[in-house]
Amino acid sequence: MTVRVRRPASTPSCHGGSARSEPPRTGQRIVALAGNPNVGKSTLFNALTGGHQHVANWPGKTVHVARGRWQLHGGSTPLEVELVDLPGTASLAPRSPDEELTRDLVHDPLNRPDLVVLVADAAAPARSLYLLSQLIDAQIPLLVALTMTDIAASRGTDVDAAALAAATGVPVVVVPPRRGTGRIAHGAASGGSSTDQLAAAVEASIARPVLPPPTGITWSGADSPPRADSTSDSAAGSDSAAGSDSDAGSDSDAAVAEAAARFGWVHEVLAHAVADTGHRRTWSDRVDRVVTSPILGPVVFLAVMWGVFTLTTRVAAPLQAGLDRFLSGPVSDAAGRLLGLVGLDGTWVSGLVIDGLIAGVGTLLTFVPLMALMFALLTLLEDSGYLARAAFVADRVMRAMGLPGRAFLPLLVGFGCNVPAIAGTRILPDARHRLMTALLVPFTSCSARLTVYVLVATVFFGSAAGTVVFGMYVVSLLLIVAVGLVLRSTVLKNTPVEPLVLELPPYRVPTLRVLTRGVGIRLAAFLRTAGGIIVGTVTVVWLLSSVSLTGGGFGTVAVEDSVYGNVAQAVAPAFAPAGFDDWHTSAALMTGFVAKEAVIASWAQSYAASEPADASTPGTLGDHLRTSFEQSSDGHPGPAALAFLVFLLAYTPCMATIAAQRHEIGGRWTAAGVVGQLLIAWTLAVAVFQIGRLVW
Amino acid sequence: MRLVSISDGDSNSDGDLGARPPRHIQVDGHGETHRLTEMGFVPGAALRVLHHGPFGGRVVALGSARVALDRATTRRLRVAADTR
Repeated sequence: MTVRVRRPASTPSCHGGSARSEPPRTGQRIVALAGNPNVGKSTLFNALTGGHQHVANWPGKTVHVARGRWQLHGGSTPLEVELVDLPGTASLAPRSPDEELTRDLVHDPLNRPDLVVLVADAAAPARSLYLLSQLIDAQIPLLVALTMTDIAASRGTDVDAAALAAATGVPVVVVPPRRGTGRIAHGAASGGSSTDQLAAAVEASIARPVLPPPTGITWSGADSPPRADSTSDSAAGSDSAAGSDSDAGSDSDAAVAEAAARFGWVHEVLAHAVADTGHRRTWSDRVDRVVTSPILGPVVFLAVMWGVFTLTTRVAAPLQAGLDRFLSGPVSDAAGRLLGLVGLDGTWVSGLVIDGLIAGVGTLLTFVPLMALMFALLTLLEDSGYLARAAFVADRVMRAMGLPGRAFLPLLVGFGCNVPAIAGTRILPDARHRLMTALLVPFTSCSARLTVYVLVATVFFGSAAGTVVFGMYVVSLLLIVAVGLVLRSTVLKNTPVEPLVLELPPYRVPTLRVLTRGVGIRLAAFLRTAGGIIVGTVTVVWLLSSVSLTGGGFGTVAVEDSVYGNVAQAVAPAFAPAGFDDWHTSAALMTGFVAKEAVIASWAQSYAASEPADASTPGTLGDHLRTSFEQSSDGHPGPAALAFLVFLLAYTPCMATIAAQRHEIGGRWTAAGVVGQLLIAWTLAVAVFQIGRLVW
Repeated sequence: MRLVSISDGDSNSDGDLGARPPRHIQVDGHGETHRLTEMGFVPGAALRVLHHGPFGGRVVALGSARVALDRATTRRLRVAADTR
């Protein structure tokens, strides 16, 4: 056990008390990774922690933070630290909750990390050094991990790590995480892999924390708290901290002068440590000449988006169907035989195992290839550097809704399947944009809804079916824009729509190892969060439809006698104003809450009709539907069918989407979203039926 | 020294990046000035317009970094005209 001696902070504290003393800390040492976005921070984090990590909201914040254990060295006295991967941060003067977290953490006298490792981009060092100057003046033990030295070299930028360490007073370790080699520039360690050297440097810093010499720049936060501080304190509990108020405050002359002074310091350090052979035009620049051009840029963008959409729909679908067949065929048969051997076939136990648990796990597993593909595509787009270009190209179009250009991707993927689309909101760096996009995705009309559109439109509209189906997609787009505008002017009113100033990282070829590791970690996290909800819901639905209220045998009841059927009958009157208050239909909609793929099967089951193999040839099910809608709508089946379609489009897509939303934006916002979707769906359906009834 | 908005200038799309002397920036107006300053758009820093993007956007070289800007921002960044 080492004793930590830390020099008391020399600047007057802005946190109240003067000369604060370090609280004794006996727990695990905390090392935080900080850095600008796109500097390879998460790649380094994954390399250091391996699989030992978990991603969760930071306590009290809607900010995703990955934390993991990093074993600095093994041997007889193994040393382990907790590694925290802070969100990408450009500055300690925060503009988003993500950035606020880093600022708050390094200024928190009680909980601040033992060491901050600044991951710095050697290829574009100025902005990393800007953040470094702020961290230095926050007087916290620091270490610089220099990444992307290979790219820097190809750009003609040669960073001298030793000179950098001398000029800043902060130890520097060169870490190209993509290659796994490196050398230490400050300190005694030599040999071994780069992570070993980083570990050695971290261990040394923790054992004997040294504060870097202050830059001498008067920090506007030293005498009076930064303006953003006061807004976040006064607006506690709201998301407005980095809204327009603090923008106005941080735009003061003093703040601008401080930022300029910091860049003066940065340029001085660069003059010592970086031999820049000039502004060499790189192959990244040549690619960008096409990819960001006014005409070819959007063409490339649409082609890439089309590729993502095709891969997440056409390519994933057969994989999903195959897994589904395997689980409902051989696996269920085997389970049935196994239960038969112990004399349980045909009992409630076999029902629970086969129709409840195996079906539930099966539903969950069919999402695995889809999600893996989605995560791989996200990683590819992000790591290759293309995503920043896509954000630039789509910026103008998405801005109309108050969203950044990157939000285009999850919304597009949503038209294939909402579940990976929700996961895709992670490409948005700002938590408020993630939240808004995750709330909009359910209104994108996924392909599972399409089969129901086709069936209903064929049954009720005959030759006009194609127009009706197309109309549903138009309604979907209108809903996204309308709900987006409403969200922007209400709940997310203070989300700033900032001008686009976006650093374009150089293009890189993503490595397979980084790709597979990233996919594995994200997939495991999804299964952990979504698994319980999906398996649980399928099992509960099976249970409800197997328990009879009229005293029949368990597991062999007709749908209308089951608890499920009774609930559907109780719910049905709610749809009377929309013209489809029929228990078969409300039961189908309840099933649709679980999965839209099962809506047609549920109808077929409740009418005891055969499920049509092709939605465009509805057969006897079509006759049943026509009769039911004719009755429930008092002779206006057309408007009722349209109302039903609109309801189907707008209400909660499926429980897997709910599970994914809970994973990304938390339970409270997910619940609010579900309620909002039901209200919108019901209101629209009633409006469509009531207006349609008058004219048709 | 004549100052022009970078939305007015042509992009230096051909040849070597270092072929012309870099231009020096000044940020005009209010709002977002702090953010631009924090990105490194400080008076005296060298900037070169590399590409013209859709909707009046520009990709500029700021030191060794490449930064994409929308039209509104490019209008507020003024640079000393080329001194060729």
